[in-house]
Amino acid sequence: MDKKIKRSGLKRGARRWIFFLAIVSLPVLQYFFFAIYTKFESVLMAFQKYKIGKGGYVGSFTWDNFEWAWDVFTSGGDMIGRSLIVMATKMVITIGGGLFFSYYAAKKYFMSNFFRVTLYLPQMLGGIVLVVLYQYLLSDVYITLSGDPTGLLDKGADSAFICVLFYNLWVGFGGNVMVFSTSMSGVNESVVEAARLEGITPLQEFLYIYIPAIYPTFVTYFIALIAGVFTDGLQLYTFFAGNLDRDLYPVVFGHYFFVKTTEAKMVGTVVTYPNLAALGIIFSIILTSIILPLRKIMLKHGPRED
Amino acid sequence: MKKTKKNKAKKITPLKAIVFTVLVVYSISIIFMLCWGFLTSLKSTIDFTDFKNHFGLPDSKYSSDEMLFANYGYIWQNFQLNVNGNSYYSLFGEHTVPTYRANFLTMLINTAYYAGLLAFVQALVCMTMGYMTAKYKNKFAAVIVGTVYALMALPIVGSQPAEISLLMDLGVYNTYAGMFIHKFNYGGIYFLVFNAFFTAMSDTYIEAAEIDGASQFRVYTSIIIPLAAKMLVMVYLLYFITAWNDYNTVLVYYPSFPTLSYGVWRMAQSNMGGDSDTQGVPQKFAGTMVLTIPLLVLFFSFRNYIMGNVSTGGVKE
Repeated sequence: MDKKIKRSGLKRGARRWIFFLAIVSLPVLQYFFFAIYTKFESVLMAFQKYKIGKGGYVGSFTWDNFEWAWDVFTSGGDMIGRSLIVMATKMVITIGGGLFFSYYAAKKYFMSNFFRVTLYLPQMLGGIVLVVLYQYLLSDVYITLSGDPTGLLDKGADSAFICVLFYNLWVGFGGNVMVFSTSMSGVNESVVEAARLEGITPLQEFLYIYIPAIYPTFVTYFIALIAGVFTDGLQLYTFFAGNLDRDLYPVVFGHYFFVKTTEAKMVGTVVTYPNLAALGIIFSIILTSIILPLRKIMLKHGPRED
Repeated sequence: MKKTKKNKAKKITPLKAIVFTVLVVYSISIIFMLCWGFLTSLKSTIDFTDFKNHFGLPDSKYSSDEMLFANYGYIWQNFQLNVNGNSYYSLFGEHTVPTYRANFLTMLINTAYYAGLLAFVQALVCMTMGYMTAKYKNKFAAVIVGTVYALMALPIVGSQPAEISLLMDLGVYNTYAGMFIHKFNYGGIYFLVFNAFFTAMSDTYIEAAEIDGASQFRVYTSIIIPLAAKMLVMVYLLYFITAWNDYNTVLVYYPSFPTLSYGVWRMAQSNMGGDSDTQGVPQKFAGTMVLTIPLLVLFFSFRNYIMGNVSTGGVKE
């Protein structure tokens, strides 16, 4: 080995460092610019106002973007309301209800392997395919079957919201079940056996063995759901493209944000980006102030495996 | 004792019955949707729209073309999009992408690049960085891992505008090169999965290879990649599926390079003034099936890889 080292002229540690730096430098550079710099840039952008000057756009410090963003935020009660309804419904159905279904899958009860496949299918097929099929079911097919001249998605924001909410629950349901059932399958069988010998019921087994076992995963998904409240576009862009008419379409902030970003890009200017960056910062501040303490409380006071 | 256990497991409780029923209904709804979509894709527009044959089998007497898969041929020939040109200024001057009409083949090539190649690049970068940070213990590696955790924990909303600005400044917005740079990324859950995988892996293989005179690069290519090949395939498949379905990223960052999913989305919007020549519902459904069938084939061919991952919450192996 010494011969090899001498031949290369470098010690093992040095060779490892050189190799390490050679390999990681490009990915780290990419990550620095696209993950870290863009975050900082979006914060800085929120305090800038662009004007056309010599040689292109010239930025100057301003609070105006936050005024605009705050106005948008406070006048978006309907958008916030819809987002909160979606979040609450998902908490109950896809997370709460999902726990029971996960238990079923984890215990490998009748046809559980088949259910795992069907639960995963919507995750795999993605939004477009199912949205297109669902749209025509609610329009052409509904009109034919009901005799109603208007499809369910075209009856105004409230009707469309119910349809979109149902769609999101239907498609998103399987993802949580898959992950929770996975964590549950890691429960030590000997613990379950011991509890059974002491006469534990299936419900107690679920509540006192399986729930504590997956509690950290549960917290992660619960927090992720809250974290996504302002960014979840509910697939509205797939349903309604860039329409932001709040009387006709169930617009939420996630959709609003995406459409505005797309529009800003389409007009080929950076002028409207600072407004959106300011809106993003308002969202981030609200979410951070909720999520960090909530996560801490949930982990501290939640059930433990022991 | 064993018999008692089996009996307990087989015992049908009301809760179990309810859960089973819901899962059956859910499964039927998913399977129905796919079957309905496929069946409709085989119908003529007259059959579906004018004669309201929404759930029946395709009726050839309403179709001038009696070929069962005529809509698929139609999609192959007529699935085209007007791609609007655009121009912007980067740090290096003006960049212009011309207006053109993208056909099915163009979208297929873009999809092969975006979902086929770049998903692999992304999986490879994740694996490489996972290995480097796990087996080359130093402060820099710790900072790399810590940064990924920190950024995942902070709910920073809306850095998309800044990303577009950066791509424009670099002159790679809406280009193949931009797609590559964008996907040459290791941030995210699978980097952490690889990191955990390599941390758990014994150093014995590496040390033995080094004693035999293998270079660092040789150790990585000849020892590590074969050991992690299964996991690489699994992560690649998951990235592939995500990229195959992803039309939002293409819409925002690469509108001049439409992929199939982007094309299907545009086609679906065509009743709202879109520009595709595939206006009939059965043709649209044929378009969605073109997007679906390869995924289903892939899924059932590699089900164990894909479900293996999912069934352990993305942290298996």
